[in-house]
Amino acid sequence: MIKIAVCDDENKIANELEEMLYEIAKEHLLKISVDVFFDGQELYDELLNENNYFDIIFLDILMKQMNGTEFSDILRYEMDDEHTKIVFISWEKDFSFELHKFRPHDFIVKPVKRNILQPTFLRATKLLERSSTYFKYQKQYETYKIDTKLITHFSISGRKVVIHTLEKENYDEFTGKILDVEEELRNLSFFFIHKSYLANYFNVKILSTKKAIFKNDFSLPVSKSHRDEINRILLYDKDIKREGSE
Amino acid sequence: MINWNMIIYLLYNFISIFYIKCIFNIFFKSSYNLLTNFLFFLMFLLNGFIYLYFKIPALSLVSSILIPSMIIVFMYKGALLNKLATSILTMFSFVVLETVLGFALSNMNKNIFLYSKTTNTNFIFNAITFMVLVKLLSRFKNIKYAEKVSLVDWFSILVIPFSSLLIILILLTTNISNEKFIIINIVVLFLNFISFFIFDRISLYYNDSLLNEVLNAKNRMSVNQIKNMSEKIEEYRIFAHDVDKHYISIKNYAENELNNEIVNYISNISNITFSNEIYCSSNNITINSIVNYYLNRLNDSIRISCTIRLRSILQIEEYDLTIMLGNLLENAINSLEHLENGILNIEIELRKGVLFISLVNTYKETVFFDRNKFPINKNRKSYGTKNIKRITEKYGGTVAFEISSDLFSAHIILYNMKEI
Repeated sequence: MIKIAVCDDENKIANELEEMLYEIAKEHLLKISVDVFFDGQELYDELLNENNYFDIIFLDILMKQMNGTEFSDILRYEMDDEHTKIVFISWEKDFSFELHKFRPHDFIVKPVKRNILQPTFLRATKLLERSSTYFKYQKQYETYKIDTKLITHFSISGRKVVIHTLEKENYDEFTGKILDVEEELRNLSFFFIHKSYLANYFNVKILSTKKAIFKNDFSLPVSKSHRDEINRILLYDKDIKREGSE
Repeated sequence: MINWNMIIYLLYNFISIFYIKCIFNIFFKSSYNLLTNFLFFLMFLLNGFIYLYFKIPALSLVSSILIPSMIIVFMYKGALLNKLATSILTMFSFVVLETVLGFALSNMNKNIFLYSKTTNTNFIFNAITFMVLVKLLSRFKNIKYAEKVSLVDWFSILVIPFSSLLIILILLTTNISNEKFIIINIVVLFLNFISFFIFDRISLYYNDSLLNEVLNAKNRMSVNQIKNMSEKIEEYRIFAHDVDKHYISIKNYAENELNNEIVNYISNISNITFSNEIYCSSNNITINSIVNYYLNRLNDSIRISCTIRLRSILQIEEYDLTIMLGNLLENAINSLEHLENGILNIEIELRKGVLFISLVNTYKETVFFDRNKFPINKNRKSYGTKNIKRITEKYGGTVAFEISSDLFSAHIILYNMKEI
């Protein structure tokens, strides 16, 4: 399922875009969900408070309440989200050079035409698929996989490792060692915050000296003995983490 | 019947081994090492055994000096040259001290293969003098870096040990019974040994409190300076905000040809200059003031890049922010002062509750690093980094300094919320 947000204060444009996206997805057998927002603040609140994330955001640049530039700045820098593909939409043909610092996927001029939207959208879905990383685990004789960006953390329960996701507190469990999981996901945005918890930095909302609060408001303790290592990762590997979370 | 000689010797044996260990800890990073501790314990047993069964002073001297100097020292982690130097120094100083003291007291037994009855006094003298040696070595190790030896140190190094030695010398000339004399010797030795620890603690406390006082005074000065800067910057901001109104007033006067009023109006506002540029206009006034103040001190040839991203309110105390950013920027400005075409890159971002501060600047002077990887100049002066370290630790964060061929970087992380 590809989660898409359309954010434009012009209702007509937003609704047309939503319809076109569903049409294209249907034709190309893609599973999508589209949420429409009418200003940047509304979209920001959804991301911050409603435990939500989006793979692609179609973002109007000029909006009254929190414009596209402000929102992109928060998304990329404050929320440290490099995963989401941003597509800027505007009536202006000349897009500001400044917008490039938000690493947009593409720019579309209004009114949005299907022949312009389709290649942009399909390319974004391909890139998303290519950049997705999956964690594979075995149960009995079957292998399962889960997109790492959905995982908040791993924990230990006896001899089992429990997978926790944004939507399900106990998504699944398998027999194994959490250290092996860490080794496998080391190059992504996972690090130990406690000897029993391997957290996904990508899904952390707030990190303090004592706690890590995830995007779904679930919180875990940060152990004192792991703080030095966390600091080292944040200080030296923050770019790696950013890349890894894509 | 108590064998006082044996008690004195075992005490001396214990204390001398302890002092040798102290000397080794001075030259090698003091850390708990099970193997060396075990070897020192074996050495204690061996020395006792040699004393009890052979009673040959020369053999005791060899076992108490050669074992630590030739074997144990090489079990420590460190450069070979360092180990050799420590080994020679320990051997040399202990042999010389024992010999000189022996001669000075005229108690040196002519036959070094036999213990005399007066050897006990020698042991006490040796133990106290070793203590002085250890203290001198620990205090003067960093003397080339202009580290001062405090008055408390001098008191513990000289006054206590030498007055103890004087007491023993005086007692030697009296008709005091041998048993009483030995008990007094043990008490004096014990007091000296205790003072070794007590004064060490006092000295540390004294140095720390002195350092804190100096740091606090410096910090107070910096805060006052930054307050003045903030006021100045705020004046500019208010002026910049009202500049349109000033233009309208002047335009009105000009349209009505009120030349005198125009002159008066301009002279009223002329004491405010427009030269200061606003590099940073985040929602944190403290950061804006500090960054803008320092960046305006740079010459025009310096390329400045300043990115501040702060949406949430900082919970880090203004006082701490001022000290930390002030120190970082002061160092950067000093490095860039005499440079043409240098660069200064500042990034301050709050991401996921963590404040990232990164400052990169061109530099030309030679930068050294101390043992904690903190930058120091050729005079071993730190660049206010102790303050920076203290503040980062206060907020659970960390700091790292790096140098490349011509770039100096400081990277800091602080937690905006210590507890949530």
